[in-house]
Amino acid sequence: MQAHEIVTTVLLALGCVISLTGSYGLLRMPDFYTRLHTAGKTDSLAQVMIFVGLVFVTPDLLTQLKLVMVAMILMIAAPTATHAITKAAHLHHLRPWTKGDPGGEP
Amino acid sequence: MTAIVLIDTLLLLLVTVTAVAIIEVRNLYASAMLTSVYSLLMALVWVNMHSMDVAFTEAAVGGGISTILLIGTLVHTAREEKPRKRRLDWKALLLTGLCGGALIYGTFDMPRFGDPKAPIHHFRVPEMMAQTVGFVTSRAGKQAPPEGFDPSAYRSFNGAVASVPADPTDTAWRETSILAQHGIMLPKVLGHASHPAAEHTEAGHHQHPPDDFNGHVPNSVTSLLAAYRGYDTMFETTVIFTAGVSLILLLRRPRREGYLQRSAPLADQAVLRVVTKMAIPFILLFGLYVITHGELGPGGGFQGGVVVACAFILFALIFGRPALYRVLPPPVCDLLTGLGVLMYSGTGAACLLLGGQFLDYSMLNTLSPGDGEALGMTLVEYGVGITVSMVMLTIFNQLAEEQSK
Amino acid sequence: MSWVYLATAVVLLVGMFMILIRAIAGPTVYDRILATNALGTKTIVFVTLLGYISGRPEFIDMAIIYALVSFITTIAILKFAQMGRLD
Repeated sequence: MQAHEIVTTVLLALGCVISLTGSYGLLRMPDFYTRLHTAGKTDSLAQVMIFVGLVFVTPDLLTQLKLVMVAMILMIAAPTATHAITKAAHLHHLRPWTKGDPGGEP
Repeated sequence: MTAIVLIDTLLLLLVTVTAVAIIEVRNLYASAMLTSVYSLLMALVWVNMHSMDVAFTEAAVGGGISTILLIGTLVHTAREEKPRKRRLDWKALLLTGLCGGALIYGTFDMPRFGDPKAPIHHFRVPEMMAQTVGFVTSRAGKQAPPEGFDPSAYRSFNGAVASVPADPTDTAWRETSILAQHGIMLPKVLGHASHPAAEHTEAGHHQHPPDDFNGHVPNSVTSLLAAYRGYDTMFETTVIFTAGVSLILLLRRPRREGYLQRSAPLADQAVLRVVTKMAIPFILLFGLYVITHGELGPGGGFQGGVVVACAFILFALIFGRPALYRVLPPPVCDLLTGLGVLMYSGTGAACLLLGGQFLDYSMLNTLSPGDGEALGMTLVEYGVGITVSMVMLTIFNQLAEEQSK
Repeated sequence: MSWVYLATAVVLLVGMFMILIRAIAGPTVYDRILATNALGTKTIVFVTLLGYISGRPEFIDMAIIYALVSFITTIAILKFAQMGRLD
């Protein structure tokens, strides 16, 4: 494997690990706000890493530019969506779960 | 099990689980969101089968417009489904099982996925390709095949191909295929300039690189839709236009009672407002790109039109419907709905007036009929895009207006 | 090199399963909105990877379209959840 393929493999592997951790956290966390932490942050980071990783193995320049463009769009749009979800839940008076409350589910 | 089969299986399993969940979940809001999830998973299935135009349309229409319209419908209904007693209807189950079994039995006869010996690749499609993107001669008019082309050779061709390698990206075998030897289909490979059937030049026409079908519209789906099936696409656009018109006729009430009073913009949330202001020009430009680039890559009029409509819908969501009516007044929206159909039929009429048949785009450029075909396809794709975007916007406006009572 | 793409695609699919379970079983509506949004972003990455697996880079356009469309859908769902109306 050449150098750029190693860089891509490392970035893709990191993106995979982060994304899988986030998905597992979405499944197992007890409350909406904790799930928001795992899903919102890891999603945004993992996909940017995967797209930046794919830049190194693309042969032509136009596709590389498009990949960078998608990464930049996602860096702006994904955290905005997470922020909007949080704000909507907060304005709806959704209470965070504290330890000892009944009803926090895995 | 190889990884590709694993991906196929997991995707189809996801689709099945989502479909069952849509039916079983009683909360209607959740069902609407699961419908959006189903649409995007189906778009993934189409991408897995390499049919990009269908995947574009499914993602844009199913994941975007359809979900927004479903959510808009939820305003008028209850949040939960009424509880029903669960009874199993044996007759319906038997009938469904028989139908499904018959369909599955029918798929055993179909050719395998991507089979080069499949009938679609031999009998009719090469002739279609030749009509729109293939054989170009120096005279104007609908392209006839060159001398020595024998239509009966097509129809008696039994699909015997010498040897097909296992790697799907290795296309050099087409150089020695019987199709190329008969001059039936020009292969899409690099460096076949020495091919005997490749001397299709014409007066005033520049040489094409050998890997774009020796023509002008490499996206075969767009060329089939816009040129070989031009009438069908024109009437599809007319159907979309009729749907918009019937919605206006049936649902639009006289607007004298201050119909714009109670609207709820989200513009007081700073983050959303700023990000939307940055995003909307980009989405509009991208929709235009998808319409225009539909000839050279995946895309086309329908997909681009839906993306343009989504940009306007985003504007209406964040800044309120009064702001949208200031930017794009409903009379202008209605006018543009008809303009798209007029562009499509007008292109056909222009071809008629230039001396050819209706929708015979090669008359648009007498020096080089292939360029005329490409120009005609661009014009009709713009027509389709304008009509589709304005009708989608009309549907959204009408649905949102229903609440202003 | 293609095994890297295939492994990433399989991992993403496993992640999508977990998110789908949350989308079906989320007690509040915001859980479901969050899960739908997360599924959308995973789809974008998956589409690009499918393009690399099959050797055709034109799939990037699909990723861009889906990124924009899923953003708009999330905003629409949130507006309905927050304000109860769509305009």
